[in-house]
Amino acid sequence: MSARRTAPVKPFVPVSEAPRPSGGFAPSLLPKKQDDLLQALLGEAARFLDAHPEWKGPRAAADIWNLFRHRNRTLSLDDFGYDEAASKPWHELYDFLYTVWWRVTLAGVENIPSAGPALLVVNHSGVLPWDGAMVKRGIMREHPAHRDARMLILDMFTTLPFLQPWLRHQGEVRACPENGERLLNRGELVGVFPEGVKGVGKLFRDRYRLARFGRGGFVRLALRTGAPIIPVTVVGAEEIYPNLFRMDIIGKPLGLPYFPITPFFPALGPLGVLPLPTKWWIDVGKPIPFNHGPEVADRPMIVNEFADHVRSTLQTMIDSRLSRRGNLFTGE
Amino acid sequence: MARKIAAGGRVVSFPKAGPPPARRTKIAVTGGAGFFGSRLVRSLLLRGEHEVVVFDLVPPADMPGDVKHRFLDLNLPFADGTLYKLLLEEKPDVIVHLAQLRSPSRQSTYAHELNSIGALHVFAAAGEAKVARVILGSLSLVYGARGDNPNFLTEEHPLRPDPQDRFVQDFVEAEKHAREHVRRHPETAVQILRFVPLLSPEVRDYRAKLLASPFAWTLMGYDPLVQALHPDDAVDAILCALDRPEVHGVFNVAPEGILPISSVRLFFGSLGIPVPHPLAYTLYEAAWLAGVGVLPGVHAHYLRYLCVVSNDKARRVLGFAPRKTTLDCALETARTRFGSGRLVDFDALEKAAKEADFAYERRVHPKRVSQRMRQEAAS
Repeated sequence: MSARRTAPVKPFVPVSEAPRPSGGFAPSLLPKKQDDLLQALLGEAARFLDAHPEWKGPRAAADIWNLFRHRNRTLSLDDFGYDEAASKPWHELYDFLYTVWWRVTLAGVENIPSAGPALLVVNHSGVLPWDGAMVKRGIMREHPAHRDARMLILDMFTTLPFLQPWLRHQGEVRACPENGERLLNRGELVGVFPEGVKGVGKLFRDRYRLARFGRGGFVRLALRTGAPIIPVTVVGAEEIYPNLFRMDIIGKPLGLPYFPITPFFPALGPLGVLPLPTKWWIDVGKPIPFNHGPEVADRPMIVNEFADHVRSTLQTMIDSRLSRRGNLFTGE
Repeated sequence: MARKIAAGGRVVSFPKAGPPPARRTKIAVTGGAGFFGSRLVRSLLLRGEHEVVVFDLVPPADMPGDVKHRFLDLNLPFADGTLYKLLLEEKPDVIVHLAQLRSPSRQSTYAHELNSIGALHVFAAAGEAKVARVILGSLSLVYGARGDNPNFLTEEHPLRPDPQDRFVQDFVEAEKHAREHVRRHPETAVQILRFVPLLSPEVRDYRAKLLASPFAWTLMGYDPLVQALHPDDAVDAILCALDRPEVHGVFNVAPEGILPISSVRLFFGSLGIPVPHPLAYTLYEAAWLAGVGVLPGVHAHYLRYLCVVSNDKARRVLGFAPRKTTLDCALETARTRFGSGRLVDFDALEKAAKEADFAYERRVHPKRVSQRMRQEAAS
């Protein structure tokens, strides 16, 4: 034991740790020893926390996360929770789809008034409701007043998790008469899809044949508020997902209104969700005035006749566009 | 002729001075020593136009004037008889029934006896004692949080809370007793005021506790809009109802504006931990049963779906004009309670809130704004 102390063993020095000639590389600014580096970092952190005590508060972690969640959001909401600032970043995606992917041609946008209430009645198609997004974006881009159309959306979308807050930030509203009336009464432009789920889930063989127009709720809405109805047709959206048949055996247990089978979905998996780049036309018709008075809204037969009139107007507009359309993808 | 001359030649009509009131209206407030009741009693005394009697377990503290207190325990089995005797002695013109628990309680029997059966006792006694008017405080939660609710519920909307939600069902039953009372005594006027849950720095109900906790489960992918009413505005609504004896019926008492619950969490510095919603119901129920939660599992519907009410009818009929928006209430409460040592910049938030309130008013009530501008231009 003592012999060892008097004559220590010479430590073995590996080649890599042997002193090397200086020069060649710039000397590092970091401390040589790892412990010194750690000490320096901890010291910096302590100094920072002393200067900014709010970073060590009990609610700091929650604040960081909540501020991150609100990075695009504002407090300037309307009563339906529409956050214009939060919807802005999505406009780039819509613009890409509008100009590049579907090359939308919007005709007759001057039929939409620059101010005051109006009810857009749109045909519904395409398994996912892209047509609504394109109508809305098209009016915002090309209308002289850049009007912001508020689309009334089916409950099945507005109650889904993640979609509920997202749609609200985009300014979409759940489709019900109360919401439509509130928006029209304060002079907003409102869009409805009277075909509803029957329209979006339409089969490929039924394309461009309008489904039943609900129970005429949109006509009652126009009669009660005195807003004109503006027919709007979308041609080209029926082919983005050719829905060959609906598989209820999968859709029913999942609680979905339909489970579409297309040539690409679900066979190609997530790639099948990519819509086909067809050529789209959006036609805006002449406004149909509905100033017959709110008491007419309680006469179902007249309401039904009005609804049928609007439906046949839309069908005529679709048929006339289809007859002039050439190739599905180029439109020539 | 003399009138014409007095008005400078123009024909005007002077309002006739009515006969002086025979006696000041006497208002009985049940639960007048509680959080809400004591605020109402204080406002009534400051107005000085009323005689006030409080029916509660204890007398209200710190009152600016004379207030009579009579002991009443609505949980006793024959409370209606006791109340009947008190009413015969006091002879109030109006009863304001506010003796209620405004948070879910684990003692569900006690809560049911007070919130539902208590109202039954009050209406039974009021009917026998022939009290001309009853004002019942209720909750806007009675509509129920449902996925297919319109964004703004009006008074005609059916009441559809979850049948398992005892706390809300008790208020629905209290309203049922009120309707029965109107059927039995068509000559009496009953006003039901459905208050949006309150929020101010002093409020300590279950929602304030939930928001104040450093973390809470959230239902993943759901972020409903909520409303928050300032207690002063709630008291104002009762005063408006008292001033209009000719109107009766149901009124929503709600502030202007809405706020996503995630933004309220931002103000309060509460961390929302997202869990898939079926699991969130279970976690809330487990915490409730374990004695640490503030709301039972079924009540988590209100953290998932909309239950926002419209105040149009109260504005139009009662002349109710709330002074604080939801945003003001939430921001004021968060700043007072958790404002120091925070990463959130409350000055910037308050500036943003002012702009937001202005933008809201211009977008949502364009007619009201243009009317006000016209009035300002005229004056």
